[in-house]
Amino acid sequence: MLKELTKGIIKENPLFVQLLGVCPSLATTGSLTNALGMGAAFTMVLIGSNLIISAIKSFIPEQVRIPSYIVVIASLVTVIEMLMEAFVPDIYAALGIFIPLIVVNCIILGRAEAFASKHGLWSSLQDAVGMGIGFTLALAIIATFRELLGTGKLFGIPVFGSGYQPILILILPAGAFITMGFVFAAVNYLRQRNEVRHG
Amino acid sequence: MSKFISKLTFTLLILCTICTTLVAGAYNLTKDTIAARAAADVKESYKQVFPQLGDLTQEKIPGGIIQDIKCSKEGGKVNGYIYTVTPSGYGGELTVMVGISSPDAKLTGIKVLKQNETPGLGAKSTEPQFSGQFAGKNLKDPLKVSKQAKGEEIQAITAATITSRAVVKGVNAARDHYMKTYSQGKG
Repeated sequence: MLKELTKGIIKENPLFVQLLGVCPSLATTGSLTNALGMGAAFTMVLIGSNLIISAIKSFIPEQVRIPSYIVVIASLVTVIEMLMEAFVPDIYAALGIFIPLIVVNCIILGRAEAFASKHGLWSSLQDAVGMGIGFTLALAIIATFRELLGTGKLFGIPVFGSGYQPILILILPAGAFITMGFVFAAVNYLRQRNEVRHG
Repeated sequence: MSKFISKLTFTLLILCTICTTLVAGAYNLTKDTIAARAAADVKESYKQVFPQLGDLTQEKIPGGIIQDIKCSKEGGKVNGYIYTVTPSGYGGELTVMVGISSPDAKLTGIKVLKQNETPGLGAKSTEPQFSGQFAGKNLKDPLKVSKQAKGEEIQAITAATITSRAVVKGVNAARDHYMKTYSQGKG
């Protein structure tokens, strides 16, 4: 019943398995707060775009589907950004800088093309929620390493004593690549071991 | 064939029209609220760098790194000026707001509004530990940055001397202009 929901979390995790959305992941994993903010904003937009595209899929001729999806996604993101800025300024202040990044997030277009354009509303909603959780989880894992080791803090609160010397490079752009490489390697190792075990 | 092409064109046309209408509608719905909020944010920043904020009037802008000057009047008497300056830091321009009280030529506060400095180093310029030390400084002489600050000097951020110098350079640009223009040679 909920298999479309759970597949995005581990088995088809958008970042770890499909390797989509790497660019915004590099940019927003410097702190755990930012990672969760990006994940929340991303999930909201993905739910909206999956639902709309699933609803209008029968009207869109196959030859112009990609431009149609892009128009829908870009409009949706712009409208959400303006509504948030006006009516929920506190959330906007926290998430506002990530919203323009979502337009260039290829997971949204990827899910529209690979899933929502071929499935009904209920399945598309599950798919969006699952992929949203999976992406947020992936961002949070990377951000935890980067923030903890790069600043000695989590959510901006010091975790280690004052004697800890932060590994500054981890919160710089280069550190995003380094951390992501290690995390991807670990995830691949676990997945391969799992596959061997289960044949 | 041409019927097929016109069908594609027509679908895209309709879709784009609907989307544009929605975006335009959302813009109209939200633009007043957003503008009001932006104005309130600016006012809040003015208050932070200049707590005795009175009625603001626009002053002539001399150019250079000084982007804006506002004159604050309390009961018809000038009680200070608020400068917005953009010195160059390590990662591009910083936008810094500087409050100066008049006529006693003291800093009432600064606020780094925008910066693109190194996280964990220069980005600390927005934290009160650095920016808080400016309030109350006497501007008779230009401010100086030091790694071991004493007296009227500004304590530099560890490992971010360029950023620290940039902020102080911005404050000094405001100070120089203030001394030359508004303090009638008393400085």
